[in-house]
Amino acid sequence: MVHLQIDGKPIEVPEGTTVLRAADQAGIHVPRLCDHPALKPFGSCRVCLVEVQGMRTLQPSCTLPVSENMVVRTATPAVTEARKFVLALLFSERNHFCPYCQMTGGDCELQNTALEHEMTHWPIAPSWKRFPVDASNPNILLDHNRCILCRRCVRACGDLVGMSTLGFEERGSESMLTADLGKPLGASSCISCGVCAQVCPTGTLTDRRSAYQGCDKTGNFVDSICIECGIGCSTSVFVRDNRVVRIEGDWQGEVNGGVLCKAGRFDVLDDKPARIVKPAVRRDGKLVNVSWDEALAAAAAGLKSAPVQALASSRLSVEALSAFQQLAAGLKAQAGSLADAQVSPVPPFLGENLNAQIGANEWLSKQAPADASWAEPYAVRAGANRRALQGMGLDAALTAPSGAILAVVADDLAAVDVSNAQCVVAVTSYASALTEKADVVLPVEAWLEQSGHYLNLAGRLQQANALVKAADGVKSTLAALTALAMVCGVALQDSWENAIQVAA
Amino acid sequence: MAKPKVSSDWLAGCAGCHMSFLDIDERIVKLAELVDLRSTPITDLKTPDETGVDVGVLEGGINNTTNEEVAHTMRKRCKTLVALGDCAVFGGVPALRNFFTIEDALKRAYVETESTDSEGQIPSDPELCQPTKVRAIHEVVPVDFWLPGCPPNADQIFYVLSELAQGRKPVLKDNMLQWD
Repeated sequence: MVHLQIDGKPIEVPEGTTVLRAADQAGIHVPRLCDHPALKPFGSCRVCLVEVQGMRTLQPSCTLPVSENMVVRTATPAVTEARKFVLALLFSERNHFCPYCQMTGGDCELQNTALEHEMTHWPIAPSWKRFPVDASNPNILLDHNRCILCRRCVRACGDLVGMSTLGFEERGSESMLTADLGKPLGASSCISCGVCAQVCPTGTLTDRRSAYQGCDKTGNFVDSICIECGIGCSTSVFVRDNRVVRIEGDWQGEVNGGVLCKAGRFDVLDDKPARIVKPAVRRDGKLVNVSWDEALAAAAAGLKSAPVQALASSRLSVEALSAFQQLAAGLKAQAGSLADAQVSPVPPFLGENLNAQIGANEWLSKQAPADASWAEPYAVRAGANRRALQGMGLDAALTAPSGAILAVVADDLAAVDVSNAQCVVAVTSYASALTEKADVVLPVEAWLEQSGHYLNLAGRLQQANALVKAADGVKSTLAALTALAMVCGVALQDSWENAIQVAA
Repeated sequence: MAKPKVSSDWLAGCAGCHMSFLDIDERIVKLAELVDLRSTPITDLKTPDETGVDVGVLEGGINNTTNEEVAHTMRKRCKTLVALGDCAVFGGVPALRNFFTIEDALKRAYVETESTDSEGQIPSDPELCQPTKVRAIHEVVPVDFWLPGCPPNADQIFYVLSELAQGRKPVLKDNMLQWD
């Protein structure tokens, strides 16, 4: 352990700790722009300069390792003047228009640092050299006018994600962030994972969907997990006025450490088919809205009319799957699952860089060498709860169920062939080919409204949390199945914890 | 002792800062007790006294030769000069014009606009001012005090004017300082 002093406070930290991290641990505030807790130190912005007794010049605390008996001062007049000068230089280099930037008013680390130092103007005038705006990527906007060349994005793209799409070209005042050494972002190898936009301290790399929809202080963040595949990345979701505005990776997430992919960050927010919020029953060929009681009664009657085949989506929580399993057993149904929507090759970063700090490592490390799936090109995009389904013996894919069908699919849009059905009870969130054929439709929560447990591919049990409240009349899948079970005369007793075998 | 004299004017701005100033609402009565409001673009007198005023407030940046003259006049006649708002402090939104040549900007405005017919011409009367590069006020004349914001809100404007009126130097930080 190394003993040092920062602003008169004695501190003890392991050898190799940087002065900045030591200050962070001691609760001493040192401003910084290029440093980020999830990234390796870089030292380009020079904002974190501190005075170190015995050293001739001010030192960047982010790259300086602590040494025994070091005496550091972080807020002397010399340090403050130097920081203000650094900020003046940063503002003079490019074109910073605060009035119309979506990060202004609290979300821009550059602006916040300037305000913290009581800057009221730019001591050095900018040259007004014009820099490009790259709008070629539909998810991420890249405005070079706002860039402070901190390289957080380059480090994230290379070290956290493993793609190394982003880099820098030229030097000095000609330095430019670039994708694939000169391609527009939308035409490059960029996989739109969005980690660069999440780490960017300014409005250079931004999420296009959430622009101008309120800065962070106007809403709140809800922790959850992504259920787009079996990896189960932890998310931190910005919600405002009961609306999901932006999905971020949770830096504290044990599976993903802050990294997300295009599917979980962006695609989930795209337009979906018509939402179903009222129970319905088919009369004279048309679906008619009815009360929950009527719909449940019709469903129960339908499920008594023929042998039942029940299928569940792998997007359902363990709680819902447990209720499903018991209900299916009570109905003496053949129970299975929806075939997962196209098991696709893994998001490219996992294939490119096995050292990427993603949960796939966890999963891959647990695969026995003889496991057939090892030979597959890391087909991890199986359903979020596929492993729970397997554990509960519900894994058989019922691709063309017949008789009386109980389809519990919630917001899963995978296709189900129900042409052999006599009666279809659909427990779902969206209008689809399934609801076109359904005799009874029970509306349930979609991914953003539901909470429940998920078992990722490595056997880690995690909890998804509701981000927003569903419309009145929409039930959780668990509540809908519980109500249906009651009407069908099936008792649900077993707890969901017993239903799955948790392999840690 | 006579009340301090205050004058204001606007240059390449949208008048939003003066509207924000008016958002001090009934506090303008208090302000009138503290200061002698001489000239503003929204009152009868338009230029500060030739004998000088104590505080001059300028909204908007410098984008033509007339703006330069007004800035020089204000600097000469005002003991303390305040740059009000992002345009005066930084150049602001009008500074976007700096990404184009003045010639291209004039062509776009007078010749190439969709509603202009083939007779479009760039005005060239010698009485007209010449457009210049868009600049913050302090790039043309020394400024004593900057109040950024787009616009600065009424509380910030009232604080600054009332402090200056009472001979104190306003300190901008926390909720008194913003850049948007």
